[in-house]
Amino acid sequence: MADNPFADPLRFERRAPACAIVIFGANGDLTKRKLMPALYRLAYERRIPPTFAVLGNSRTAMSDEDFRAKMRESVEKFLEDSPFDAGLWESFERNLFYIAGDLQDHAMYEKLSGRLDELQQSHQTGGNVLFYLSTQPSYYAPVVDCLGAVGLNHGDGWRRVIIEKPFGHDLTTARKLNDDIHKVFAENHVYRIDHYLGKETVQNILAFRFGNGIFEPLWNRRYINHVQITAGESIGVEGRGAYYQEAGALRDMIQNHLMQVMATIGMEPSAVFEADAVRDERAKFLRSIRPMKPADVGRYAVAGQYGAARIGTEDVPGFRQESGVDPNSQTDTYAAVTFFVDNWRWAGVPFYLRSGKRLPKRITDIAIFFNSAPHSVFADGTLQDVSRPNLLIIRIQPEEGISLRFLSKQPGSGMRLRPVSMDFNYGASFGERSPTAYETLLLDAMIGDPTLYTRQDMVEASWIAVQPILDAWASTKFGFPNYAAGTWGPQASDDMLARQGHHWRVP
Amino acid sequence: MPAAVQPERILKDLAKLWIDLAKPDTEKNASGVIRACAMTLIVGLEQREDTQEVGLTIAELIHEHPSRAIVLRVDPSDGGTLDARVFAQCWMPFGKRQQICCEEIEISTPVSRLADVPKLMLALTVPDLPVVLWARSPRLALDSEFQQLFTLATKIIIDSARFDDQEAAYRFVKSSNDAGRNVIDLAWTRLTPLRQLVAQAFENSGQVRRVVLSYSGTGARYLETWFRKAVPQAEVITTQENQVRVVLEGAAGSVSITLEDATSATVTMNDMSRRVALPERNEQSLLREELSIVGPDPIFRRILE
Repeated sequence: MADNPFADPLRFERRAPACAIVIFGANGDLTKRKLMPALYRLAYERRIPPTFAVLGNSRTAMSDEDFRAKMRESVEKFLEDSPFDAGLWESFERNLFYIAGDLQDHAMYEKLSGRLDELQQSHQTGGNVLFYLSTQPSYYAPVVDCLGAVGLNHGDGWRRVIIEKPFGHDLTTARKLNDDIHKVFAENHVYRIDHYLGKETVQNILAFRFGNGIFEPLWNRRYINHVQITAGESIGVEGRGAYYQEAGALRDMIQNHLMQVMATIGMEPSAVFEADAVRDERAKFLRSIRPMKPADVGRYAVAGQYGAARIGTEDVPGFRQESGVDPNSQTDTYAAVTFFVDNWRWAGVPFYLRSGKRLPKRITDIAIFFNSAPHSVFADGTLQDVSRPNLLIIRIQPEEGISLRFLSKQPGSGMRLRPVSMDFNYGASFGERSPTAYETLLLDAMIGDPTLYTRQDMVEASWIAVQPILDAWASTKFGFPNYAAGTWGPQASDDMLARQGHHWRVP
Repeated sequence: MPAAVQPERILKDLAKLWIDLAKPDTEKNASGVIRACAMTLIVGLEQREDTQEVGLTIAELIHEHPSRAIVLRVDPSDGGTLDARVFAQCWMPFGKRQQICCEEIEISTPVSRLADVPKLMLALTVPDLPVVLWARSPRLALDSEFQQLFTLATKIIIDSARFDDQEAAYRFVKSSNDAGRNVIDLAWTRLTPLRQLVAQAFENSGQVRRVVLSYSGTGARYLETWFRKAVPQAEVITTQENQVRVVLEGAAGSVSITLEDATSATVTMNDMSRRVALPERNEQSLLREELSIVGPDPIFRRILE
């Protein structure tokens, strides 16, 4: 709204311009659970204009009315932290349309083009179209190719495409996918979504680091000993066994989500808070990750797979017993990696990343371990805990916040020290509802702000970092399962840290 | 918890309050409490004003804007004595194990002792954090003794809609801002959703040639000036209708916005109408918006020029 004489950035929330959103895979889980509730919520908060249009596509034959009924059911079911307003829905659903058809059928795209022309007139979308590829990854390139073939990649307004992860299955396929997409859409029209970057607390890392003067001087190898990033899930594969079997924890979580979080922790400050300036710094950091030599993979990366166990009163199956999973599967449901970053700021500082299914709890956090005091004046052999380093914890989910652990004197005579925690709790300081990651990211794409989207070079840099591990694991026969459901992963993961003189923090 | 009205004594009572709250001696606070504070919020009231309503408003506000709330209750009949008490407002966020607590100080004073209050407040505001003064009572806002508190405040909030003489309210807001104070009128805040719809409608109307608006109260004056400053080339016509309504006539067509009720509006662009939900504009929501903006509002300042 830069040229809008009525703009009031102090009071008005950011708003999307008039546009149409085409969702491929509109009958899928992501649309039902995340996209439609996010769009409804954006409409509820008046972030999208009353005349926006959504055009859903899938193979299932449905009328506009059927699609609206289905979406209503999903929104009522999956809307988070906010009420469902039936009156608003009536207005909202009039902007929902549906077109059935096969993703590889050119005729479907011709029809789509016709519907978009109609919507441009009836809904004054200005010819702006956002294509959302919420399909199986194997369709990404064919869909983009078809869009180009019928000329939907350009029009009266802007044309952008959002692509869900995974961006390739490895470095080679990621490069091929990027090449295929770039034949139709220029890089600045491609929005690769990594919903972790849309989370409020991940964005807050930038505010914390670059909005405050006191932390940045400490944010380097002189003061930071190592960094641990944990993303644990207590659930198993929940019916996604067939998909997960092809992905695994390293591809599903570490290569994308956790490496982007790591880049947010480790990147240099950008000169300005603008999309390419921020993404340049993230990309530079990812490119600085030291590629692992094949011989080092066993030392710096650990694969795990959960076995059956009893958790509480529930018997949970092992991964190989899950529906759709090969009984001899070699898929990693747990991965832990040590990365080193070859730049002046981080030389010698290990970044430990781990992610797994069926861990004791659902948690995502970042623990920054500072070096211990160089000399402890209290270490007379009678006092406890004097060697505990300061620890900064950035909690991403489920409870967002930041804690700083430091030592304090216990009350009473004598000099007994005890670790205490200074907490910032997001919920306590900002009671207002945080937008979901999909609300933030969809709005950004409509506005044309790609700051929180990943760029081609970032994707390739993170594949380059994990590719040696994937290659080594592909030729390894693991003795799975190697950890019981409900535990913090295999012993080898603890050993990996122990070799560096560290141990995993219990989140 | 009655206390002698000396700043030191009140601060000691506050310290004791937190020590008591931190004791995990009951099942209710077994996990302790989180102390939250992002500002000092001073509320100026007259004794006759609805205590319960204001209490509820503060209790709701501190969920989003944790603060040390100081409620100053002035008795215009000059009855009673200067008195103070402290207590905590605690709540348990959904799904969490720890309570979050904010402190509240309630000071009652006869109008004859109002001059003693500024020094008291000087000691009671939280250091290094903004001080927001909400002068809920129109009479207090215009009282010269009460105005001594303005020097402490980062921001002063009044609501001209509560004034019998709205012209006097407008003059007060304008002269205070002219004098360099950051005074905001909730009549302006009330306009935000409508102004936001106008900004959005502009994208469909193109260059504005004519604005027709129907609104009442001090807000009408603000709204009209806002249009005149934003689109000086356009003709601005005010009408008196039963409904709040704004019509933008532009090069690309006409857009009308009609408020249907407190929480919805109809936006009509050429032949197409859509219902839009609006946020409820009660006292709480207006204050919530203002507490999010501690610094001056340049657009409001501009329309007062």
